[in-house]
Amino acid sequence: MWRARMKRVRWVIAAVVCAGAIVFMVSQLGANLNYMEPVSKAVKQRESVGDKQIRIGGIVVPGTLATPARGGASFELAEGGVVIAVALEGTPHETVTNNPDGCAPVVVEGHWTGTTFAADRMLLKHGAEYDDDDHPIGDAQDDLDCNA
Amino acid sequence: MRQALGTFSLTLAATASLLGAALLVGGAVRADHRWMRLGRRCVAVVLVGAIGGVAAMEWALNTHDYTVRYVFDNVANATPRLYTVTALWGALEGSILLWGLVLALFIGASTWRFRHRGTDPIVAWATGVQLLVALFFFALMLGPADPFAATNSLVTPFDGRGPNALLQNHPLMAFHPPMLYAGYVGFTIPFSFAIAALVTGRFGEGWLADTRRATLVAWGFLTVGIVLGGWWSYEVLGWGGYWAWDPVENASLLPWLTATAFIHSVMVQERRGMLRVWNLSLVIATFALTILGTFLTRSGVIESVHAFSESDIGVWLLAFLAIVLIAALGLIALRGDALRTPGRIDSPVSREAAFLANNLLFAGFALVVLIGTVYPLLVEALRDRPVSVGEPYFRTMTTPIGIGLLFLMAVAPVLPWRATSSAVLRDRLLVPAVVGVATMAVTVLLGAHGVAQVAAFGLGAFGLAGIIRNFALGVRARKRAHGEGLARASTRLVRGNPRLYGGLIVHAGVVLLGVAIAASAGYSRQHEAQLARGESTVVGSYRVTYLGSEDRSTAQKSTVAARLKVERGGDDLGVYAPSISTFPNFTSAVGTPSVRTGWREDLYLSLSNTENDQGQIGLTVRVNPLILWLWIGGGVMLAGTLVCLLPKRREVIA
Repeated sequence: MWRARMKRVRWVIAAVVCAGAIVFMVSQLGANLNYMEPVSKAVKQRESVGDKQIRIGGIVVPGTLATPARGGASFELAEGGVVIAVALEGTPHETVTNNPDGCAPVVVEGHWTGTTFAADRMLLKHGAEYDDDDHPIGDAQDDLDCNA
Repeated sequence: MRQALGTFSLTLAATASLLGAALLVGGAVRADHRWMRLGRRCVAVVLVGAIGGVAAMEWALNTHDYTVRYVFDNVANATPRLYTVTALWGALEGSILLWGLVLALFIGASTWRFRHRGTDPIVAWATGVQLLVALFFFALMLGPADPFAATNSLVTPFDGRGPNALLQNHPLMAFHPPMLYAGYVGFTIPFSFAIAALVTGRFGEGWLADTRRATLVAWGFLTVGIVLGGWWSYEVLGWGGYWAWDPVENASLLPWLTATAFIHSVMVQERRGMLRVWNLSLVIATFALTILGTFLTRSGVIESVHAFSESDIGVWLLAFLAIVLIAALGLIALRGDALRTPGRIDSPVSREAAFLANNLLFAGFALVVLIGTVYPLLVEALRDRPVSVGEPYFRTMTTPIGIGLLFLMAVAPVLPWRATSSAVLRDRLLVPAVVGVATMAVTVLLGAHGVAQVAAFGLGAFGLAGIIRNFALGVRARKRAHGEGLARASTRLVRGNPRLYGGLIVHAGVVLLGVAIAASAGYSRQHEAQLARGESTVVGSYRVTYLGSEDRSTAQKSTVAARLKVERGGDDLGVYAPSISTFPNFTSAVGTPSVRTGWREDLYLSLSNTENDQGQIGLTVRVNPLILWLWIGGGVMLAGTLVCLLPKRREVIA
């Protein structure tokens, strides 16, 4: 009798621990989801997103990159006929800095501060050739008449 | 000629796989030994076909046969010989070709190993399953992933596009992918024996003993492949780290986690006859995760530095994964009652209980990584909205599990089977525990902070002290019993029980890795600076001065290297030259960091931009502690795995 009760208690404890672990995992997952949108869509959703961490994909507009001596960088990101200002904390990818007149397809991760996107990270798909006509970044390269 | 040879070889391998599988399975069902023997002979033909396919591709690559589309897409006239050879696994179709060869080699080795049991139904079924897996991959190559497809051009191009810039920038490209493939593919052998055991009803401990070495070999390759991948990331990608929780990195980690769990839980089944269903499930999960990893890498469903271009093989791989899971889980369900074992864990403080806890943690680790990896795919499929899971999720979830595993790794090897007493525990754990606590105290006094870091240092020392104690006691016993010297006693101790001591050596490697990961994740420092010629920046105890840049150009690439003088405490440590290279046909520039490696820390220098209009370079300086111990830890794990594979030396008692 006592043994059976102990066994039940053990199962209950195991179930509670598992449930707690799952709840913790789901909450962590929810807190660390980064939505990735092209510039045009991200601008439309700016109000609803607030200061949540998101990713925005687009093309660095040629000639807009500035790398001040104090560090960081600023540039304009375009897609779908929409252009936004990005302030990047940290170093831009060498593909962007070494090809300021080209159109580097990048994804920046950060949050909105007013109409400027404060990015703390820049990602770039290496060797990416966005040939797909339906791809928003491919379209943006066409719009900007990029050679990339 | 090369195309014809390649296609013929692949057709031969596919046909032999089909025929061999049919003969072996048919022979096993009808108990016909002649069919089984014929089926086994087909393995040699599969091997010849796979070698022929790879040879034809290497021939085409090295003679720049641009009539083959794969060659045109992946090499150029200026590509150095090494990267021309490695282009075989630089893109989708070629990598499947290498997969086919590695699989054929594993099947050949397994067939040779069981050459005296060729008519044993479990061996026949296992070889049949192996050939069915081979048939799938050769069919892929004859269908949607044809490596010998012709170039879509009436005129033969005079030059190719060349490999992806990242794949021709470091010699590790020659080692990292083949090691990973060998690890992935090797798990086909234990999977096939697990299926054979389920089909034949012989799911005792026999199939475990039969596949122990194959499992260890595959695990060893995968371990080395993952560590080399981290090294490649560190030395090539230039971001200063070695693991980014990239979906494709995760895909290689997943089967490693389940396989590691299996390597431990198999001992419980061998010793106590328990966990049969669990072990079968782990083997099946490991194989299924290798297929899932292949799907993630090659279907184009995820964006990653590792991902190949989008292709049609995703649906094939998903279908194959579904067949594997349905067949395997169906067999387990069918055999459900017979798989039950009467054994139970007698005490929560026993080795089998510790192994069970270790397995639950490994399974939890795998689940966390799996969910974090595939969740974005599910969200995108359901909501049509691209999403990614941030690194903090993986760090927050896996750190406590990793700490728990380090603790169990220190405790489990010293626990006896079945039950223990407090006196035994005190005797075996007191000294290592004191060493662990003392290490934590010392590291805190030296300035260590962060609960996870301090816990990792303490548990690492705890584990290492336990391993050293174990060796020391064994050596002392041998010296007393046989009058041997230290070297001979150590060697004979290990040769007498290579599985135990090899395992302990692997654990020592894991400790080194765990401590290095904790230190580098917690205490790395990074500084970014724009420097003109003659200007310096100071990071920690290092002063880095920009001396100037130099250009180098070859047919393969154009490189701009910045010359940086490094000093510490007034001592000149030399000139380092991080660089940025551009490759013809690729818009992306590739940075190559320059690393000053040390026992205590690395100085990691990478360029973010070459001289701009103001004559300044963009420089990122990182000081990464204990990184070297990551690679040493990987080497120690490999050494331990090799020791585990040694045959047990039996001593003759005079």
